[in-house]
Formats: sequence, C-alpha cells, structure tokens
Amino acid sequence: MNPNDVIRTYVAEVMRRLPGRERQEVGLELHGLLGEMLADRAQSAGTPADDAMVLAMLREFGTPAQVAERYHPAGAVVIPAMQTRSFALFAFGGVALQWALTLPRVFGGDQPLVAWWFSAGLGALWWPGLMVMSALVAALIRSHGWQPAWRPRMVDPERVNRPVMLFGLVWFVLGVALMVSLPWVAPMLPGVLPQVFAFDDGFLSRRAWPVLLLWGATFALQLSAYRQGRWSSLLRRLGMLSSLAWVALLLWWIAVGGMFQAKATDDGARGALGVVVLIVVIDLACRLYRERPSMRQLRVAG
Amino acid sequence: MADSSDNPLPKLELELRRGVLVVAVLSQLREVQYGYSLRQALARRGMPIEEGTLYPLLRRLEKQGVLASEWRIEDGPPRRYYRLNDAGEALLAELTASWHALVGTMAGLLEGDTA
Repeated sequence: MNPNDVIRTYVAEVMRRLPGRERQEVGLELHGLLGEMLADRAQSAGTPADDAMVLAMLREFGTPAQVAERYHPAGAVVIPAMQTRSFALFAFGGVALQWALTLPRVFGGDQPLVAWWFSAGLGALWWPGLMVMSALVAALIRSHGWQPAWRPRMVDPERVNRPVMLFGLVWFVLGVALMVSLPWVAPMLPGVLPQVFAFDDGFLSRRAWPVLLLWGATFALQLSAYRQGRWSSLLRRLGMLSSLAWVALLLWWIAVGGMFQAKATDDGARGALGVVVLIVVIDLACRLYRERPSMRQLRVAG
Repeated sequence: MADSSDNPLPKLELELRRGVLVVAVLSQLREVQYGYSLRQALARRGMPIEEGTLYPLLRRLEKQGVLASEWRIEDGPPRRYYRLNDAGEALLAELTASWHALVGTMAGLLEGDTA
C-alpha cells in the first residue's frame, strides 16, 4: 500500500468523527501535517518512506478517535467526581435490590429464569436509566450557570419548625380520628366496602386498644416539643421509647394477623404495617446515630 | 529502586509547560507560520509540543478570535498559515505582562523573600 494512501485512509477516519463544518479544513491540514512528518522521518532515516514507517508514525500520533477527540471542546461533566462513587453505589444497589426481591420466584420454581430475565431482570435497569436521565437534566441545568446557593445548616438541629410541625399535628389528629372511627364508618360505606373494611371483633376487643395509648403518648410528645420550640434531651429519649413501643405493637399485629375479616384486606394491612415498621426502625437508627457523643460535640462546636 | 510511576516530576513538569503553552504559541505567531513550521520553531527554542496538541490549539485560538489564518499553496502541499490579529497582539501583550509579574512573584517565593 502506498504510504500516502495509508495517510489518506487515516485522515478520512478522523474526519468522519469531526463536526461537518470543520471536516474539510481539518482534514486538509492534518493530511499536510502527516505528509511533512513522514517526509522528515524518511529524511532522518535516510530511506524512502514505507508502510512500516507510516504505520509507526500514525500509531504514535494516536488512533483516529483520539485525534478527533482533541478537536472537540471538553464535554460537560454529567456526574461530578465527588458523586461518582455514590452514583455507582445507588445504581448497582437499586438493581441488586430489585433482583433480590424478584429472584426468589425463580429459585422457588414459580418462574423460569428466562421469563424472569426478560421481565423483572432486564426491567430492573429502569433504575440506572432514571438516574442517568436525572444526572443529564442536572448537568443541563448546571451548564446554564444555575448553582444552588450555599446556606448554613441549622445551628440548633433540635429546634422545631413550628409551622411544619403544626401542619403535621393537624394531619396526625385527622388520621387518628379516621382510624378510630373506621369500625363505625365502615358499615355505612356503599357496596362491598363494609365487608372489605370490617374489623375482626377479637382484634378490636383485645389487640387494638394499646394503639390508643401510643397515639396519645405520641401526640403529647409532639405537642410538648411544639410548645417548647425544640426537642429537649428528655423528649428525644421519650420519643425513642415511643418508637420502640410502636415497633413492638405493630410487629405483634403483623405476627398475629386477623385485624380484618377479609383475608385480602388483612394481608394488605400486614404488608403496609411491615413498611411502617421498616420506616420507624430506620428513623430510630438515624436518631440513635445522631445521639453519638462525637456528633453532639461537633454540633456544639459548629 | 523507586518505580518510575512514583516519580511525579515528569507529570508536574508537563502541567507546568501546559500552563504556558498558549503564551509560547502566541509569541511565535507575531510572524506568519504554518502549523509544522511553528512546531519546529517552538522545538528549536526548547518548547517541544506534540502536533496532536498544537493543531487543535491553533483552531481553538482562531475560534476565540485571536488568530487570523489563510490557505496558501507555495512550494509544496496547501498549508494553512496563522498569525496574530489585533486582538491576538493585545492578548499577547497582556499575557506577557502577567507572565513577567508571575515570574517575579515566583522568584520571590522560591528565594524565600518574605517582603
């Protein structure tokens, strides 16, 4: 092959990767440059340019993709370096969690592996896809110069945001009122709803009553914090005790079952309570973590 | 014996040179040059630069409006010749002043001048 043909092929591959408006000019300039570099090499070696010489020169120069990349401006950063690790962890973790939840069906013999792969297996990739799309949108916003302004964190983390807390307390009361009145309201609902939401008599008479005490205690704690304007050390500890009591009560209900007469409603309620228990446990773990002496000392210093 | 990858000098030196590359290139374009002759001129003065770096840099500087270029066919293949335009001259003057100030500052720092 003629060395000039090799250069032409190489330049064509570079040009293919360049923006259309720059292609011709860069190609012409690059072709001239490589020709002169080759002539210099041949002159230094004292031999005519041959295939080996031109190939060695082009390999040193870089692959066509690398050369074309040098002509492109630096691209926008989609995932900032400080977020790369957590991004990868969340992406892999999300997929792993979905697979962990759906794979037991395969191991239990309820679903063939191939069917799982083409449904839940591949379907789990929606999560990293969503993360990438979110990162792209964030990068686009950043590229337009928008950056959230830095604000100092709350100096006293135990301080209560009263408007938000009042809003929460109102909804707390409404929710409790709805739940307490449900045994009387359910029979008046239309259609099959009375059967769907009919409580088990044994549950109402023997296992339901502690919830009234816990609701009352939780409300009193929240109200006390609202009135004081902050979570004192005593209130924090009482709050953790209250969470533990909630976990114990809900686990008891889940284990015994039989809250509703309809099995489907009862199963659904047990599942929902399981989620509530999980949230309470996570919240409790976070609160215990914040109680560590080093964290409290840091807050005072800050 | 220390591994060559443990020695940070080559990389740091490269970063140092990269920082002054634009000034070096602009300084040589007060006279009309094409890419390859510019590279040789820089190499002769102790500032070797890879062709793969030089050509994209020239195009970027031209896009930034500090270089003018034109194609010429003389005794050889068509070549694109570059030179500073008025904006480039002004930029070079400013960068030269910055460079001298930096050299002074660095000399003070390296000699332990605490004044």
